[in-house]
Amino acid sequence: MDIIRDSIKYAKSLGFEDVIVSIEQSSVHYLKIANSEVNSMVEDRDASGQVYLTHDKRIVASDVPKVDMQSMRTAIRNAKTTLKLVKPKDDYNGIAAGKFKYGKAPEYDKRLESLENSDIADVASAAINGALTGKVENVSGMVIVENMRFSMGTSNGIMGHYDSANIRLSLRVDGKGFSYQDVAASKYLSKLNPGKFGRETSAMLDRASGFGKIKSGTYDVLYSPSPASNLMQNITDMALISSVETGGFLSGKLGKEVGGNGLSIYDDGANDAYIGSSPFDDEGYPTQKTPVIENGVLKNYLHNWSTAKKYGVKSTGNAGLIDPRTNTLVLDYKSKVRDEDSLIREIKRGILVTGTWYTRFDNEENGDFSTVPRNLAIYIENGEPKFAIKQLDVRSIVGIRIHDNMLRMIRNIEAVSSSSKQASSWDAPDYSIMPDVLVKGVKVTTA
Amino acid sequence: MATDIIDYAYSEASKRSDGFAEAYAEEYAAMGAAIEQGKFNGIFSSSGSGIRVRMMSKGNLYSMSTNLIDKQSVKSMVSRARGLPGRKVGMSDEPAVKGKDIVKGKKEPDIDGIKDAILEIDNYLQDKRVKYRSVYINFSHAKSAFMNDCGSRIEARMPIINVYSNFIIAGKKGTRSRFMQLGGVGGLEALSMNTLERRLDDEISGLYEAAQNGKNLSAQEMRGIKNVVISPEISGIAVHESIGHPNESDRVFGREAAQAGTSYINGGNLGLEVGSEAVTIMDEPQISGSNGYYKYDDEGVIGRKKTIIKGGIQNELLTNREYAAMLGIRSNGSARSSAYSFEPIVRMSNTYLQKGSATFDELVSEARNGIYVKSFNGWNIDDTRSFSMYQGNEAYMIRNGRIAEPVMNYKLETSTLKFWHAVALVGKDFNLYLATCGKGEPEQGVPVTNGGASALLKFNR
Repeated sequence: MDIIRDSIKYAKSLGFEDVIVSIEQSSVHYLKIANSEVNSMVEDRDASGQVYLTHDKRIVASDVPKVDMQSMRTAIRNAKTTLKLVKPKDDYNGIAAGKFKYGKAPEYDKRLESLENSDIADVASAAINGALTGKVENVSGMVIVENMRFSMGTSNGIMGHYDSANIRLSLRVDGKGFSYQDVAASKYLSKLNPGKFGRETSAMLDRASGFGKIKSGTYDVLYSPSPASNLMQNITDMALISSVETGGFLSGKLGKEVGGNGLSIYDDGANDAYIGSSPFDDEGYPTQKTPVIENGVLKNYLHNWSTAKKYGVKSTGNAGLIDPRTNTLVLDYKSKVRDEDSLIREIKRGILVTGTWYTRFDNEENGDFSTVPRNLAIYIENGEPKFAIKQLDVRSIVGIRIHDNMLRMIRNIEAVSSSSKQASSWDAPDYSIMPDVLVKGVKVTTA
Repeated sequence: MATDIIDYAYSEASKRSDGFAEAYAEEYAAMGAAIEQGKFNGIFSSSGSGIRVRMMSKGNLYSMSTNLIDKQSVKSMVSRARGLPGRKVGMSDEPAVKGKDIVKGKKEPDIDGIKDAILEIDNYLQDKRVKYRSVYINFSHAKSAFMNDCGSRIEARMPIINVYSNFIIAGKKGTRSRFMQLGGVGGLEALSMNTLERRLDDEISGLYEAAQNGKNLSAQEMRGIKNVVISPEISGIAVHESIGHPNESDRVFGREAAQAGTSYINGGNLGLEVGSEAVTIMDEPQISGSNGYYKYDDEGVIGRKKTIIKGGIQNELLTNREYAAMLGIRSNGSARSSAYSFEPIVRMSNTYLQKGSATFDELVSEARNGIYVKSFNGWNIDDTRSFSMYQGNEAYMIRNGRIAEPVMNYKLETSTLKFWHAVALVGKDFNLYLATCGKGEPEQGVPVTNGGASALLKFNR
C-alpha cells in the first residue's frame, strides 16, 4: 500500500487530477488433460501495476512492468509527457468519490495458495478416472488454479485490497461418436469432487442412444447451463453503456419490456460465493447486484462512475480501468420446473443442446445471431429423447446451426430448471449462474 | 533485463530436464490510442519483460514463466517444474539455428505519430453515410532471445502495428456493420495510408449500396443459388477456419479437444481428398511486412512455407517439435506464442488459397447466374471444422454473367468438403486480410493473415 500511496502523491504533485493506482500479483497453473492423461503444465507468476491518470479530461493509462517505486514514478512521469498529445474526452466525469463500505473480504480455501503440481495432477487424475468408469473413449480438459492479490488506491482517498483464489475444472468426454463437456468451479478445494464430476460428465454420453438426422426447420431448444451461459452473456455485454452507445440491440429500450415477464437477469459482482466476485470495481466503487432485466423489463444499463454521471444515474460497480465491464450474470425465471427431464417432457419437437460456440452476430443492432452446437445434441419428440443428432459422417460432429435473435430468444423463454449452476464455456469463459433454459420456436439449419 | 539472464535460465532448465529444454526472454513496449465517434478516449501504454522456460522433467512437459527477472526467481521457477505423473513426450531433433531476425519498420511511430495516424483514419470515416465509427490503433515492438537443447540461439526484434476499425452504415433497407483490421509487421508503412482513404471509401460506398437498396432473399431463392463467386476475403476466412485449423497437428491428435476443438482430419485419414484439383492452400510465415510474419518459430525452427492442400489433397499438417516427433518428421516451424507468459502451440501464419489464372470478369461470366460475396460479417464453424457459415456483408446477385443488384441476407452455409469440392475456377488476383487468431487455454491471440485468390464455386457440378 505504501507504493500505491506514494504513487498517488507523486502523480498529484505533477498536476494530475484523477489518479488510480493498482497492483496485482498473480500465480496461475494450467494443467492440461488430453487423450485421457495428464498432458502438461503451464505456470505463470507475475507482479505488475497499472496507473490511470487524468488532467483536464485527458486520459492516460499505462501498465507498469515492475512493482517498485522507481518503475511507478517513471510510468507517471512518462504519462505527463504523453498527456500533451491527448485530446480531451468531453463526456468524462471523474472517478468514484465518497466513503464506501465494502462487503467482507472474499473468503476462499487457503490451501489453494500452496497446492503443488502433484496436488493439481491428483485432481486431474481423479476426474479422468471418474470419467473412464463410463463408456468413454477419450477424456480431455483443464484444471486451473488461480491465486491473486489485488490492491488499489485512488486520489479520492479510496484504498482497497483483496486476495482471491479458485480452482476450475473443465472436462470433455468423447465416446459413441459424440462429445460432452462441462465445467466445475469453486473457491474451496473440498467442494470440488473431481471423481464424481468425471462420472457425471461421462454419464451424459449415455443419453446418446443411437444417432440420426433432422431437417432444417423450427424447433424448441433446451439449452443446458453451459450453452445458455454462452448465449446470455451477450445480454449483459450489450447492457454495458459502451455497447449501448455503439447502438447495440438494447439501445433505447430502457424501461421497456424486452423479455418474457417471468425473466430477470442480474449482474452480480458482490456475491462472495461466485468465483468472479470482488468487493469493489477497478475504481474502488462497491460491487452490487444490479437488475439488468427484471420481470421482462430492461431496468438498468451497466455503468462506471463517469458514465453514470453522464446519464444522471448511480454507478453500478462495473468499472474497468477504461471502459465498464460485466460481473457475474445470474438468470432467474418465475416459472421453474424441477429438473431437465421435466423440461424435456414439455417439448413436442425440439433439441437438447449441451454446448455451443462461435456465437456470432449477423447484426448487433437488432440482435440477429447464429451459434453452433459443438457437443452432444439430442432430438426430442413428444417429451422423449429420440436420438443424438449427427448430420455428417465425422467423429464427434453434430452438424446443425442455430439462427435466432437475442431479443426474440429472451421473449420466448418458456421455462427454466429449478436449480442453477456456475456455468462457462471455452469461448465465453466468464462464469454465469445459470439453469437449463427452454426456448420456443428456434430456427435450426443442418449440414 | 530479461534477455540478460537467458543463459542462466537455459542452464538451470537444462540441468533439471530430461533432454528437452529451451529458454525464451522478451522485452516489449506498446502504445495505443482510441477514438469513438470522433471523441478521443485516451492513450494507453504498456511495457515489460518476462522469461519462459520449457522443459521435460521425468517425461512430462512444463512451460514456466514469470516477469520477476532475477536469478533467484528463475531458479525457483525451474525447481517447481516437477510433480506430474510420468508421460514420455518426444521432441524432434532439429538443426541448430544461430540467427537473427531483426525487423525495423521504415516509419516506426512515436506517440505523436500514433495520434496523427488515428486522427487521419478517423477522418477518412467521417462520412454522412456512417452512423457510428470507432478506431483503435496499437503499435508494439518486442525484442527477444531464445536458446534450446539443439544448440540454437536466436535474437529477434519485431515491430507490429494494427488498426481495428469498426463502423456502421445505415440505409433505407437496414444497417451494415463492418470490422476491419489493418497493418502488419513494421511501422506506419504497414498501414498503406496512401491507399487507405480509397479503400475505406470503396467499403463505405459498397455497404451503403447494400443498406440502401439490398434485397432480402427468401429461403427458396437462397437455396436456388448454385454458383457463388467468392472474393479473397471470403477465400481467406474459409481457408483459415476449414483448412488451416483442422490441419494443426495438436488439434488432429487431440491436445485441443476441450479448448479450440478437434478436426475432421485424424491420424487415419491423412491424405484425404478435401477439394477439387483447383484447390492448393499454403501457409507461409516469411512474407515480409505481413501480419503473420516470422522467420523462426518459438521453438527455434525456421518457419518454412507449407503446402497444406495440394491439388485438393491434404498434404501437410502444421507441426511443432512434439507432433513432428510423433509423426517421425522434422517440424515445419509452426509453434507460436503470443507472449512470454504463454506456451508455444501450433498456429497458422499467412494462410491462403493459391492463385489461379482467371480474371474476376471470367469468374463472374462463368458463374452466369448466382451471387458474388465480397465481404462477410458473421461466421462460424463446428468443433470438427466440417460445417461452416459465412454471412455476406457486401454481396451482389450475378445475372447473365454480370454483377447485378445488392443482397442483404445471403449466407454461404455448407460442409467443408462440399465447399472445397465446388471450387471450379480460381482467380489470378491475390490479397491477404488481417486477423487475430485465438486458440489454447489461456486463450492466446496471434497475428495472422488469411486470403489468397477469388474463386468460383459451383455446387451442382
